[in-house]
Amino acid sequence: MTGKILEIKRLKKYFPLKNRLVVKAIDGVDLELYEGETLGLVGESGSGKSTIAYMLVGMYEATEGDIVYKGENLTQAGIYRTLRQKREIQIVFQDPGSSLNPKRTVRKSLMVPLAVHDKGLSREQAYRRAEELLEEVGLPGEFADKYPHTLGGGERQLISVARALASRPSLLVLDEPTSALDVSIQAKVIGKLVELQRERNLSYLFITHDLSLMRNVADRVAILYLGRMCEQARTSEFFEKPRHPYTQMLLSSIPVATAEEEMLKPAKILSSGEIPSPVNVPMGCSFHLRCREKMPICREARPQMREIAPGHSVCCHLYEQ
Amino acid sequence: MTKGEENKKEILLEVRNLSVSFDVYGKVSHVLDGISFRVGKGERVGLVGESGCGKTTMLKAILRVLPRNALVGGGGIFFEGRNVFEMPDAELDVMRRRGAGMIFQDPSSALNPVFSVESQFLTALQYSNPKGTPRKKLYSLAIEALNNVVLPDPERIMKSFPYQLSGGMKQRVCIAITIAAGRRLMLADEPGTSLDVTIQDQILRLINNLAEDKKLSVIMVSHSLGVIRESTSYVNIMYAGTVVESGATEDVFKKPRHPYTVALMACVPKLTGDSLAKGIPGRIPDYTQPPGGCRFAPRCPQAEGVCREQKPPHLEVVSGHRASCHFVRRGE
Amino acid sequence: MTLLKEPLKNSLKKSWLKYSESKITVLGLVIVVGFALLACVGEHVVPYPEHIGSFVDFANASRPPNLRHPFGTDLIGRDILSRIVGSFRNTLLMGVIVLCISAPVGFIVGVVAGYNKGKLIDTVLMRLTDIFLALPPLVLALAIASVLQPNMINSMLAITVMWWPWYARLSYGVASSLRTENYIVYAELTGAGMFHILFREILPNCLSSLLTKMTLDMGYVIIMGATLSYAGLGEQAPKPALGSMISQGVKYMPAQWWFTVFPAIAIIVIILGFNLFGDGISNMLGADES
Repeated sequence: MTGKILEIKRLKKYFPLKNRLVVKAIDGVDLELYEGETLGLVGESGSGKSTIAYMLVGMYEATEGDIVYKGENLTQAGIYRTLRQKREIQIVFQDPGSSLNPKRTVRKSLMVPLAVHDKGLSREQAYRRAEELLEEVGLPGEFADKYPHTLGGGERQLISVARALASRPSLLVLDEPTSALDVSIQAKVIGKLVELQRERNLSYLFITHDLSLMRNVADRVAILYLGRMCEQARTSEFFEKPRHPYTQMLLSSIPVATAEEEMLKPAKILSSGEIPSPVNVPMGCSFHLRCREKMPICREARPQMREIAPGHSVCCHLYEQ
Repeated sequence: MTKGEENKKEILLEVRNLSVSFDVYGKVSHVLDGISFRVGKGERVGLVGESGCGKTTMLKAILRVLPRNALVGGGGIFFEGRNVFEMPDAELDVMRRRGAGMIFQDPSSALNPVFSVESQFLTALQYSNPKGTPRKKLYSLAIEALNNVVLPDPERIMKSFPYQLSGGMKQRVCIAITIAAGRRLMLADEPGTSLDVTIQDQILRLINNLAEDKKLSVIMVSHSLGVIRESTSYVNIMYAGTVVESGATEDVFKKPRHPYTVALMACVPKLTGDSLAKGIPGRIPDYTQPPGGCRFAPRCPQAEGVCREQKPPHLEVVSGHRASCHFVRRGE
Repeated sequence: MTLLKEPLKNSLKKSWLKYSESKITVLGLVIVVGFALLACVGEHVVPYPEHIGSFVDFANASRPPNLRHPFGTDLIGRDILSRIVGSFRNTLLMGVIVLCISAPVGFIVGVVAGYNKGKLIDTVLMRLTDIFLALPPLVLALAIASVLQPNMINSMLAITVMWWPWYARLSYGVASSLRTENYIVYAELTGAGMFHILFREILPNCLSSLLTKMTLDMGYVIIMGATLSYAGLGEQAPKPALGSMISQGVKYMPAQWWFTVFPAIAIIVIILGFNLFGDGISNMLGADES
């Protein structure tokens, strides 16, 4: 872990609706990512975790705030980005069913980024490069001439990874890459991702709702709730000393497969309530309606992110002294 | 009364050596291969396995809603002692309306978006109650069921349309519709998978409470070992249409015997942070030509000649804990 | 070699099984193949090839169906069977040419509008399509065909003008739903051009529905062509056309019923054949993934 590769500062993304309502998908998020690191961005539906991913790769333009990548500001959307900027940040989508064109062979799908970013490559070279890309992610080169529907979900996800790596990026945004896969397949894909990261010093922004997976993969974990950051810490610290009441509730809700894990969960906190709609975010702390430790101030003032231990910040009035 | 007799009396559903295959354009897929298990009254039984292992086919077979190209090769499903496959249509209707019901992974598609909860709920209740039951009576049954699934303000819920409810609330409505008719068996097909963890936790707790309070039997189907461990008392581990291991949930999770169960458990990411296994090599077999012996043999690290030739027996390892593997020994 | 052959053979076999799932579609295939064969070699197999043109034999005029002339003869003694078969080539050409022009035109309009959904170009193209859809099709075709010379080329043109909007609608629907698919989004993000996205990514996904619609439409185009020629706007005498044969025959109903009935039956059988064939194709191409 060396230099800072990405810095997100007070990022906001609002989607206007009809009747002057506004969806505050991202509402002031700060985030940093270092070279060769995996940051786990965890949240439930409506937390805005995918919105951050889409802004990073340029699908959406930020409403406010900065996305600084290697010193360059990347707040604008895709069409305003240079090819080099597009090349550097790549994404792997969640659904293995829709990330590859069902009517085109794997080879053709892999040749798209080559044609755009590797203009020096001749057609024949690109043709062969597609097979090399497959081998680099641990798949046989013969898969190049298959159609996606003849392959398994894990294989398709690895092909998506190969396609993302085709342009030699340094940051990979992984948007729930394994949540549609079986655990035995997930283990394979994750193993490969970890290996590739080590070989190429890639940085991963790993978006997921699966905290147990992050325990095994991430260097740092950040929790989002309704477009705001709740807690951010190094993985070991995060799981040993979760501070935010929402983090504690999340951790205690995870169904676990062994008795040893049961011991690690915080004392059973009965989860209650549901995530409010992002159109109608509660005043003050957005979590106060579901919080078991809410205080009068939580309803009035929005808490700020505060570093309570080295590298561990929490956004909660409990820790504001 | 001995223990065996007591068990017999309590049995609600028994699946006996069931085989189901599908005719897909002239090729026969042998999906379920000799499945047997029992569900007692008020018991929560888990079926766990990866996608394509036949979990959902199993549930469909219980309600006899298999697609038309399905062939039931042998065995039977006995609901309260009656074979589902031999029931006349009228009796089957009664079973589906008042005996066993199903809830699905995606509650949004289980409810019709253009009808209010009230109209869907009352329609369901009309079928499950004697003809001519006054609407008022049905309505109060529905309200009672909504109270049972801990939904606040049931009158308002009744007036709502599905899109006005969150995923968790819709799933509660589905559960309410299932239990309101006094059904004794609920087939839960991944009931929390499409919901957030905190909501899934609430739904699983609700199902557990209903099973205990109302003596509702539950067959919980999931791909998640964690969900099964926390919500069932007895578990069947499925692989490629066979039950490879079965037993009290606690025993199976504490000491899995079958190589597949062991490998699967190693793949689950743990909160303890033990590094992940490398996955299980290979993939689920082609059902049109399943392996002759043990169906897990081609992927099994311990497999030997006998595994490829002979089907392993579902051997009782210790009391109540069985595994289908040539290499497990009684008492080990 | 065998390695390559085997999967192809399997996929052909599977396609056939899917096609023939409903047995009646096989009948459709038989009719369509028979029709196409006759359209190609018609004049070599009919009993009286010279009757297809301007042939006159008053001695045999208006004969009812008999052994020498199974469908009877017309007013000037030409064999009706030969003339029906002789009209097949133009009938088939009509359908093929109209569809081969209107499908690509409609596809391009629809896919450009659908992919740019919500933008100005979408509004312009789709409103234009709507205008064409709003005009009563037959009136439009009659107007075009009567302003221009009444011949087969112009009647094809008329039908094409009113046919492409349906393909635009179809492609619009597919394109606007596909544009949020991840592989399209990925192509955009990586910087692939519009041409690549429309023709390399979206077109292959439209092909099966376009093809299905084309086979189903074949029959309707043929009906439309027959209608125009019935109104005297299609192929001109002495060349045979099913529509004009019927229109000339109606005057002699019911006495010389064979003038009208046999060409009419021929149209019905052809339309039926294409509809059944279209159903089969849609069975075959639909639900590919399972």
